[in-house]
Amino acid sequence: MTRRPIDPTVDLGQAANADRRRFLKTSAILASGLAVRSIVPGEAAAPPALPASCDLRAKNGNSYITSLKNQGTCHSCTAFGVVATIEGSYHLQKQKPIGGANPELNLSEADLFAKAPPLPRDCNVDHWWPRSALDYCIATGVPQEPAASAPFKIAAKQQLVASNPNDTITAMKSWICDDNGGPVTAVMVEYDDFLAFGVNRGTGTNDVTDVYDPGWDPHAPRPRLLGGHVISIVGYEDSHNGRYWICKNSWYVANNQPWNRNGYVRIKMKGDSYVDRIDVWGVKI
Amino acid sequence: MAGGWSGIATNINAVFADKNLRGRMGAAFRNKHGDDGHGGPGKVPYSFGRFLEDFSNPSTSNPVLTDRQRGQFLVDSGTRHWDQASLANIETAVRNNLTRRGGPAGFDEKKIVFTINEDPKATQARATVTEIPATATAEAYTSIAIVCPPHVRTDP
Repeated sequence: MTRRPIDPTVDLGQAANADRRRFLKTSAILASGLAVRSIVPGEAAAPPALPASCDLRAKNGNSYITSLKNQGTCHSCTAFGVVATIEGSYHLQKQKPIGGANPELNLSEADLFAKAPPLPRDCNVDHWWPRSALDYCIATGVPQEPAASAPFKIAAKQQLVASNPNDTITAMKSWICDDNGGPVTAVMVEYDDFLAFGVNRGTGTNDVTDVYDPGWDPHAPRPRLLGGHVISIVGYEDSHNGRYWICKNSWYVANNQPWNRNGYVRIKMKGDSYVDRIDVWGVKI
Repeated sequence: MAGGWSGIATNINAVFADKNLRGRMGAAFRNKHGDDGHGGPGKVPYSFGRFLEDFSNPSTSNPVLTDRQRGQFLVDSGTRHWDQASLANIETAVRNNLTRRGGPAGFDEKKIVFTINEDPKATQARATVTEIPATATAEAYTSIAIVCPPHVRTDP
């Protein structure tokens, strides 16, 4: 998909204080596991049920998720996971679905990787948590590609991990599906069978329907613990068909083909990857 | 590995320091990882991080790590975050000490003392494993001194 620079004057980092206060209040409610609702006096308030599934690549017929990118061999997943989340949040919160008159926001992962603290950083250092990258996006911003005049800032970040794992899952689903939310950045435990899961999956744009959880291949040796990996969660399914997160990765394999056929992977909810229990952030544009 | 794990190290050191608690920890280790720590039918081979992830302190019955800490601990325990020789040495020491044969019960777990310090310039964790002989007043133990990157790099 062709990427065009977006108008840097739209936005950004200039959210009105009232908007910011509204966001923080909503965030607190979401993080506590409750859903935002209107209350009619005298009527018992019941939280609205969350939809059984939500996919920001096809929400009400629109996609809010930008094109796949390739981190190559550099341990820069934090930059790619954070930027993917910011780009998707922009398109959803501004109600600018991808395509047609709405050019894709295309931020520079390379700039974020090179400049966000803690520094120095090189491609072999992968202890870099999303918090510090998001703080840089709030304070300084990230330029668009190709270079635009003003860096793109975000207004705020919101940690969605609660002390109770079920509350975290509710907060994540609420955030992802809410038009004031969007995709979330998440840290997962990475085993070597995660890479293997997405190799030799053929080509195409449709998802691989298998759901990843460490140790997925019973015939393979016990997977080796490598460290952490950052992805962007763009949807979920929570029904009799399965319970998983739809995740945008930033890997390519041989012949410049996206990993796992189309670059997306379904990861088991509350599974052994801990993708929904360590560090999950939403952003406000 | 992260400097933030000093509190966990303190808790584990307290278990290792008590012979009874140490024995119960050894039993839990062998129940999960086999009598030699290398797995077997129904057992999983030990690797660093995989024992503590669901271990409960025998003195309190509480998990050593909260759910969120488990994930972070596993991330920090990954091979990418370690000097490889250090990681191998730690795994060998933990495995040997918690599966050591002897005593009336068949096993005689050996004490380990973990220390964790930060190096502002470190990008990976490394460790020095040293066998400390017994003295007139103290039993022999294995010292595992871990040096890891600073908090700012390793804490979410």
